[in-house]
Amino acid sequence: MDTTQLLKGVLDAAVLAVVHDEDGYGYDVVRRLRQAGLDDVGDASVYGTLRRLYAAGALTSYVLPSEEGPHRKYYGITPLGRSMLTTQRKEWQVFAETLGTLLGTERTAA
Amino acid sequence: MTTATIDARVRGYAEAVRLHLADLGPDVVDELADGLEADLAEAVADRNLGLVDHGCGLADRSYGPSGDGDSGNGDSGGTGARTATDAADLTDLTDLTDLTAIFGPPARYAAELCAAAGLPEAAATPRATGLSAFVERARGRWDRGWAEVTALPAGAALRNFVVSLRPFGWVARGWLVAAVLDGLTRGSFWTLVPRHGIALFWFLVAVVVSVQWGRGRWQPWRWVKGLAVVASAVALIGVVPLSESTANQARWGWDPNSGTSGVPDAGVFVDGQQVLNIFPYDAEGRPLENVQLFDDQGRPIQLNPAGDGWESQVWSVDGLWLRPFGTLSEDGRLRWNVFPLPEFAEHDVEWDGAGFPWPLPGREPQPIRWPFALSPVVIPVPEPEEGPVQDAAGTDGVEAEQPDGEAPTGEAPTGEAPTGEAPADSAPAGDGEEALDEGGGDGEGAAGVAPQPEG
Repeated sequence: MDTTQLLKGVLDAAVLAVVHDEDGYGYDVVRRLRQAGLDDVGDASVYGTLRRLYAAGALTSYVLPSEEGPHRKYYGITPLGRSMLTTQRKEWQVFAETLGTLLGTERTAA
Repeated sequence: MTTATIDARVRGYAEAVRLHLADLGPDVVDELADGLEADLAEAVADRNLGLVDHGCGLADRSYGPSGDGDSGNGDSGGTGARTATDAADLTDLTDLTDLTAIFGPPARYAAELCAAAGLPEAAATPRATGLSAFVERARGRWDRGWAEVTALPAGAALRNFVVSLRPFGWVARGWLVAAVLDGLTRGSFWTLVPRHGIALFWFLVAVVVSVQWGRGRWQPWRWVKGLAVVASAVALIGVVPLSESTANQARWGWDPNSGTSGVPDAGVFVDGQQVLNIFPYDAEGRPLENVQLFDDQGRPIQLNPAGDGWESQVWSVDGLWLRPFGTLSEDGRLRWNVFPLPEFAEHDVEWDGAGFPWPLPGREPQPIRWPFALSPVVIPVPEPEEGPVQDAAGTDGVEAEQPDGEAPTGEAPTGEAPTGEAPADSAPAGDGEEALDEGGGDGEGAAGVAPQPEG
């Protein structure tokens, strides 16, 4: 199964969750997602998602100078983003349980 | 060396992605692709450190344990790349510089970016018609040409500088287009300066629209984009002539009524029109001849102080071309401040070697064209006590033996009292106001203008 298709539906939640833990800049978020096991996540998808969540008011952004190289645009979660994350967590739980039942697996969403 | 190569590749790749986003407008491109180079560079550095098999492109993204928190984290990729040089074999590294192998084609990357950001895909729709396809190809070539330049550090710096100036261009475009439209509606009077509040309002409206277009806003229909291009072209074409005419206006001033520029720096003007001759009348309204006029500093009033410019001072009366001429004073000099100026017919003058028109010997000036047989204004004259030039109710016999101007000016101010009231009465009096001010006092012919002690 092409996991990139699955990812599309939950990328918002994944990105929000990552940024919820700690503010991060574009590639930093990509890296943390991959470390979490989402190997197939595309760089551009993450950047686009960050921009969209920012435009929607779920994220704030600020620029920090980096030691070397260009300045970094960091993203942090807003109260709106937090409530979106809460909602999506619940939805995901329900969805995962439903699908787990349907597919006959024992798995429950973490 | 390798670092530089990677940097150039990263810039080139980011540039290519931006080009694919270009249809969304510069504003959106900046928003979407802001910091793209840094992200790409870091991703490249990570891949180097992780030493993954890059041949699989997007599919394989596993990372070595050293992939985060190391020195390469957060830098432009240079350090990471160099570390990789030490750690890995060079073949891998050179392959890694082909960013398409890592990130996929820029077009796909851009599409992914757009899709994830919830934007319509840019540039995905091919242009149909021949002309727009041609324009598109030309644009592509142009962009690609520049992409090679901007891949260099200096080129990228230049590009960033120019890009940062773009908002000024939007403002200028709006202003220039407004100026062109303003000029068109006003009979081709070109200026960059709005001449009243309403014009200023429209100029500002144009600026706002132009800036919004520049930001990719306010383009509900596709043709608006074309309109913006036309506006840019109009602004580019108009900038030089508009600046030039504005500079001239700043130097010479402009006359909103006549639509011609030129507040003169020489001569006598009434209502913006050059005075070509002056016709004095005495207090009782009778014409005066051979009246010498001086200004408040004792300078002779010449209708064209340049003197040699007189050859251009020709005017036509009933089909006859007339040339004004000076009056010879006793010292043999030609006096141009003796009014009315004698006027010779064009066929009565000859040109000397210096290009100066002299009356032919024996030719008489044309009869004086008095605007009035008698001035409609009669000025009451207070009883003079002892005017030095009292005698001359008549206008003749004055000729050139009169003092040259320095002497009379000492008394000149005395003449101001009567003339001060005169201009208000009638147009003709107003015409000569300036000249009469000075001339009345000293001109011997000005019988009525007796010295006023309190003047």
